[in-house]
Amino acid sequence: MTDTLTLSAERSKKQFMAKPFTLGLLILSAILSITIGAMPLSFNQIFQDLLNITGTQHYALSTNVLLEIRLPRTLLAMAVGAALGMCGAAMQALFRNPLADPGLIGVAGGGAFGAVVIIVLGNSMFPNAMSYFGPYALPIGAMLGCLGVCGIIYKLSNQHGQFTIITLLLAGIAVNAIVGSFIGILTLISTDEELRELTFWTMGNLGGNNWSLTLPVLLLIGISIVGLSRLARPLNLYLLGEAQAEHLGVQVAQLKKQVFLFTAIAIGAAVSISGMIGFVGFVIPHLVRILIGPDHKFLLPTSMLLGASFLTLTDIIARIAIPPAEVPIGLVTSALGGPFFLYVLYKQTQRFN
Amino acid sequence: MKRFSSYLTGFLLTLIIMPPLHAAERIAVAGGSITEIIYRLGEQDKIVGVDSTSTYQAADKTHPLLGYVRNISVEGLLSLQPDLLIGESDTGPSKALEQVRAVGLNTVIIEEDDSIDAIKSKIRTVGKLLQVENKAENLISEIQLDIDALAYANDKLNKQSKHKPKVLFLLTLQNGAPIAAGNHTSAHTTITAAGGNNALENEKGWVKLSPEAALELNPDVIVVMNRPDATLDAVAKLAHFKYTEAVKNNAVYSIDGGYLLGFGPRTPQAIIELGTMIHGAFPLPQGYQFRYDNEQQINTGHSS
Repeated sequence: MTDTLTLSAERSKKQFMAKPFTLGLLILSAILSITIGAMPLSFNQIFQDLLNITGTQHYALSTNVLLEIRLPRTLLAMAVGAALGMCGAAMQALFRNPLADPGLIGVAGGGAFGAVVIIVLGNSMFPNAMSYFGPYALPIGAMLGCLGVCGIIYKLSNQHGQFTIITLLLAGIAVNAIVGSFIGILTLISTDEELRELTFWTMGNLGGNNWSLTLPVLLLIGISIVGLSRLARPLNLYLLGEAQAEHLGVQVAQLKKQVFLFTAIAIGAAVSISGMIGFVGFVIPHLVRILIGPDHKFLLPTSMLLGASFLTLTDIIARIAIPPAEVPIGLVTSALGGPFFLYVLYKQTQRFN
Repeated sequence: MKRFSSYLTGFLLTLIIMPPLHAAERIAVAGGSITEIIYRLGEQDKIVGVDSTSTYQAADKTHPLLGYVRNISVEGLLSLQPDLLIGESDTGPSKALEQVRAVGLNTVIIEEDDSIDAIKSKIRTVGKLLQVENKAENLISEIQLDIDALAYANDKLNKQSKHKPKVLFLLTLQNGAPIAAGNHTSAHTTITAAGGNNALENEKGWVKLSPEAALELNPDVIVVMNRPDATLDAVAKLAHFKYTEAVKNNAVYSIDGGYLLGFGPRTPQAIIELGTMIHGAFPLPQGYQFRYDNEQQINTGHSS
């Protein structure tokens, strides 16, 4: 009895500390991400440019690099990390299953399908649209793929107003398998270069995105994050069981649909521009749950902040590991996140023995 | 697929070019053939970074590596402080190129169509950017020797009016699944230029061959890319080619990929070399001799 009491006291202290701590971590990693990079920046010059001391219209290279490359990239890393962390937590709650991740509802598969269609078929099937959209073609294709596949899974699971989790799960698995085979077929007919581009896409990359690509993604992710964080209380009740939650006044079917929708939008936007970044959506919520427990009022925001810091930090590593080239970020997240997660897991199980 | 359409449409280079005010001093290169040209112009000291396809004289080992040509990192590139980026048409991703331009780096993308004419204009373009036009013209007249010899040989062969040998060009033999060149590939262009018939001319692009399809093609000559030793043994071992004319007659060869398919300054000579492989006796003008050393050229057939 005393044991549980101290555990819960300890936990509430941790819960209380979690948000300020992760927020601090995020600010720190954002500052690092802006200051560190392959290109050494002259901050003296940047201040002069921004305060317009020299009075010239032309910015120095350092200023351009900061404004056009580092800043959008840092914001994107934070937003994508936040989306992955928070949506991962929401998905694990929705399925009441620790293995759930956003891929289950078809975002990853759909995004990859959209991307592979653009990469392999784009130039031969719709050359006009490709030249019209230019660099936007791939993100738009991936986003449409996400929405299409998520839409199909949603439609299949939403029978007679019932949005049952088991149908969602099974429909998700089946549709993902079908999409996977389409991707396989397109891979078969792709050329060497296209295959290589596709491989890089599936390993994720936050680089090369200018403001006009970044801003819509930030907006979509922002909307979803606000939407999801309002669902913390109903999600807590939902964990008691669907029937119990219903009796406690939660509109369960609607809750499930909202979680689905917000996750599809946020992860769809993230995947469309950064490719597939694995493991973050899975490992971050688990880590947070191990540390501060399953209360969604703390779990959701902490997962969001930790996810954002984690992705920002790993992106720094991806950028500076092998200059002047870059490591795909998906490789860094798995390579670093995996062992760290195992370590925490191991420590945790040791405590109970 | 973009490459294919550019084959059909363009003979000339199209340049998206912002003319430099003065000669470039620090050049980042994305594309093996361009690196090769800069080396041949003797301007390699100006190179500050290359992509991973720039294998000529191990340029990818001596200069900082930008990564794969279609996956360039913007900031990494800028950290080399180049004043010029020259790339082949597959330099990318395109959004990265846009960022590079936005930051104000002079960026020249050479649209290419893998033809012999395109090599000359590529050399001219690079020469102009580096302001070494004279050296570029010298290099072009050097290449002209090979081009003339090739024309001479093909003319002679046409007069003999023998049937053209069927040539199968293999990209790789890996995992027992050979990948062969169909039409609209750089290999197809070189086979045709060397007076051969591509055995797989009815397929488009690079195709994975099944054993039966390969046997049915029954090529007279097989050329494998980048396979320095024991090519004949490796090819003969595969069920695909065991009973083909090429294996029966020991007409199996290997050639370096960058040398033949790079469409840089060495390619015309490489096509002539391919011609000697394909035809056995390739009628070359008197006094013509190979001038470039090709480190990976090993001939396993016709050893007698």
